Amino acid sequence: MEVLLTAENLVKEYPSRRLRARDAAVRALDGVSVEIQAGARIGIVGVSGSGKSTLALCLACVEKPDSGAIRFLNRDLTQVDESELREVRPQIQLVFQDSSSAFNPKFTAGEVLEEPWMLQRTWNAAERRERGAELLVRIGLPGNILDRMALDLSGGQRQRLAIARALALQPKVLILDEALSALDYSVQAQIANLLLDASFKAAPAAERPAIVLISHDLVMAARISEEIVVMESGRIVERGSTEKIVRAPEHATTRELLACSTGVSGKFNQRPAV
Amino acid sequence: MRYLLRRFLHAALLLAGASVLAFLFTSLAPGNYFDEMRLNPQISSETLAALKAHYDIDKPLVVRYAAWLKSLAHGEMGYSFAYNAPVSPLLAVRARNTLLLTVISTLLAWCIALPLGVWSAEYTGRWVDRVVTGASAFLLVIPDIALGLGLLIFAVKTRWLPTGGMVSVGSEGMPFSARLWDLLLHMVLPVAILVLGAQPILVRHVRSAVAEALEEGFVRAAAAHGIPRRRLLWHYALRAAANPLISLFGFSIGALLSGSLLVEVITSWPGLGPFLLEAILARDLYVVIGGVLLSTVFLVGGNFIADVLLFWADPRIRTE
Amino acid sequence: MKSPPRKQRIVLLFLVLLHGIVLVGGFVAPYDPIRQDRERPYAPPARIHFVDGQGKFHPRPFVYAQRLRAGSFDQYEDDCATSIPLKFFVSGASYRLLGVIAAKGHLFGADGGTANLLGTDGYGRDLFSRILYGGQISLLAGLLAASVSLLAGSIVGSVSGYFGGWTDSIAMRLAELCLALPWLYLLFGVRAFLPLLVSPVKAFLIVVITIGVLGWARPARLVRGVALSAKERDFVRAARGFGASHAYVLRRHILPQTKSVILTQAAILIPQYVLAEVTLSFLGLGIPEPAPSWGNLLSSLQQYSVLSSYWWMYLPAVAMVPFFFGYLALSSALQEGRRAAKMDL
Repeated sequence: MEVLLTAENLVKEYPSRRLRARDAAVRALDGVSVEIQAGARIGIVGVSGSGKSTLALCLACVEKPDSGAIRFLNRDLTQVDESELREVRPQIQLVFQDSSSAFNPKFTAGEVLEEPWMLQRTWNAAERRERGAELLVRIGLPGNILDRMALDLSGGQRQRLAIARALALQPKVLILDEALSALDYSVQAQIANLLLDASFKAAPAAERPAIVLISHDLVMAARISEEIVVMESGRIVERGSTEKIVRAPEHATTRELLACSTGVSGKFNQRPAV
Repeated sequence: MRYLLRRFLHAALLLAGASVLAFLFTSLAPGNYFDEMRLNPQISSETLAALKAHYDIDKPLVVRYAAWLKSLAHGEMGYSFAYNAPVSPLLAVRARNTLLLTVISTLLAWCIALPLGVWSAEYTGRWVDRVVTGASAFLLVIPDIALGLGLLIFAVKTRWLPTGGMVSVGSEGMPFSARLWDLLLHMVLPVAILVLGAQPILVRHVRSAVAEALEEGFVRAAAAHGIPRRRLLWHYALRAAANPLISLFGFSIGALLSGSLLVEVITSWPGLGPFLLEAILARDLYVVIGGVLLSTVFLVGGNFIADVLLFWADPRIRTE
Repeated sequence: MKSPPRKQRIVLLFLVLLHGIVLVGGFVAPYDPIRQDRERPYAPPARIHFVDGQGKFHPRPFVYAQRLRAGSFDQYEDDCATSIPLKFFVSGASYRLLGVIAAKGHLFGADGGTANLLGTDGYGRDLFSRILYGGQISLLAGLLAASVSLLAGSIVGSVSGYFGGWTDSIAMRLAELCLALPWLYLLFGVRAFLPLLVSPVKAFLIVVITIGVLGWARPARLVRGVALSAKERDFVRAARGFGASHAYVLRRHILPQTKSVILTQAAILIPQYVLAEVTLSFLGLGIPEPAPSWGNLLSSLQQYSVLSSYWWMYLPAVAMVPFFFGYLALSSALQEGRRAAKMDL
């Protein structure tokens, strides 16, 4: 499997908000390296503040790291200028956690879905409508939502729409930044299956996007991913195949994350007596 | 303390920038300024020579600005072409007349607006509030020029008040008390126009600030403790409403020199406004710049005073 | 797209009606505004009667001809022997409706004489007509100047807020500087240092551009605020993720968000700028004679004789009031609407 996207030794600091300059800046990423292969499914887990979201933003070229390299098909994206970056961006798509701010409040669902094509393809309105309907079917949304205001849809529908929009330009890498966290458990499961489908059934190997799921829920990530990366305080503390992580976690953080997740858990029997 | 220093520096920089801007704006006149003046028969050749020597009037903008700054350091603020005299004493007299009017009007306006606003906020929704809000809205809708001219016509028709100027003709010979009375009579009309014009905005702001403050948790808690209504209003609610009101007060101070232009022209009050207007029409460059900057000093100063008052009144700002 | 609430619609209707009357001022006004009648300077308003001296009722309203009182040169009295009926939809002096369509019809006119419903000025020009035409000029000046300010402010504000960095710092410092100077004095100063003795059309343009350009700072700051918060939103990031250019993002995502701020500013700026034009013209720095503007209509009141004897010259000031009321009502209605919309969310 060819390597699509790699992060090499990423470091990113956010300046501290306090008035006294003496307090150290917050290091969101402290030398993080990750490799994403074509068609892979990777889960990046950690608690809030572990740096996983920052990693996602850097991989998607939304934020620039302070040092380190991000290579996409062997091109270092941190050294590339704006117009070249614009060409690359559609190949690495990001889905946000909060779908309600991911859509322009005045757009209909149709406009949201068709925007990537308006920017990148030369299709006319009818073609866009047709492709839009196809995409909706793949995502499991009814066709009649195209004319409704994007923000009027339910949480689960919005997230599907966001994923559909992200898939519109057939990206090579799809990054989901806590995209499932705000949803009901059952809806999470549905969308998780959707992602598995998108990864397996939808298209021949060449078209399947690599999926990177950022989450604090290790078990949810385990459902979708083949490989899991555990982060804490800006560093990667453990990584390995899903099976190994779930059955034989080595690092304390990994074990805690397992314990906090709903579902399979070794510590289930240790609830305090009421 | 450092906060105040920062604000002061900020104000000073603003003034410097404003002076540059004022110079720039007034040099918009097309054509060579100096040549125009040479053709003007009203300006004597001695004046021109003096101007050339002291103010580099025929040199480019930057040089002129530098010369003006030098004269500023001497306390002169440039030279008036029309009056053939340095600008500062001319401005000083006029500014004093304006301040006489505006300081009294501002104080009066606040003294009326504060109780009205507090009263109105306390009885929100009742007839007191409706009357006050209605009268405010009515006044707000009448533009200054209509208000001024209207009151002027009223004064003329009723002949109760003198209708122009600051003092009556021949008042210099009168004893002090008579002169004072004469001055006061002349002030009634312009002060009335200014106070009425300022009322609606002031009352509205006081009312909304106090009404909001009365909704605050700690005020309600104090009421529950049985603190008497009057103390509640004036000590608790007004304190909480102080911030926006202090800023507003800063604006009031800022407008002391520039807010009364129209009123002074209408009532022929010999203040800064008509003087500047005359200078503007006569293209008396340095008078215009001096006058504009003097007003800017007040505007910027007013804001700074508001900053100082806020700093003193609101402990939260001190710890920021 | 929710339709504006009822209150806003009523106020808008009221404003549209008022502006409409002024817009077709040529039709509503009985006379040409610059036509002088040196025989009748400062004639008082003609009173409309329905009942004549003998107590007879006439369904068609009429006025009495005015003649100078014997021995006086500015006191008029009604000549009860000569009654002038008012006819509706008459043909009179030609004018251009909306500035383009040549027309001659007027709403009403006097049959066999002149009926000055609001009196005449020093040159015998009909005040009623001049108020209508003056309104056209003053209101148009305010509207155009507000558009200039809002346009300039939007461009600077959105670019400044969106791109940030040095552009933003410089622009905002400049805005702060402009706001620190006393606006009215600056307006006068700039106006006066531009050519003064120009044709009415040129003067109009100079006034509009001066007022408009000097007022860029406040709208710019407000629009910048919107742009700043909008550019952080995820949908902007998403669009950039699809390879959208900055121009596209500004056009499609940022500028539409500024609509409500711009509308509110418009409701505040238009009356303020109308007043600025009126003040400028009142003091001789605005629209010159013979073109009427509410400001220069009032400037004769600076003379004591006019002030004391010819009270009807004050009427242009009265005419301004309903317009200001309308704009004030509009901005409170807009504010209420926004507060209500926020609570819905």
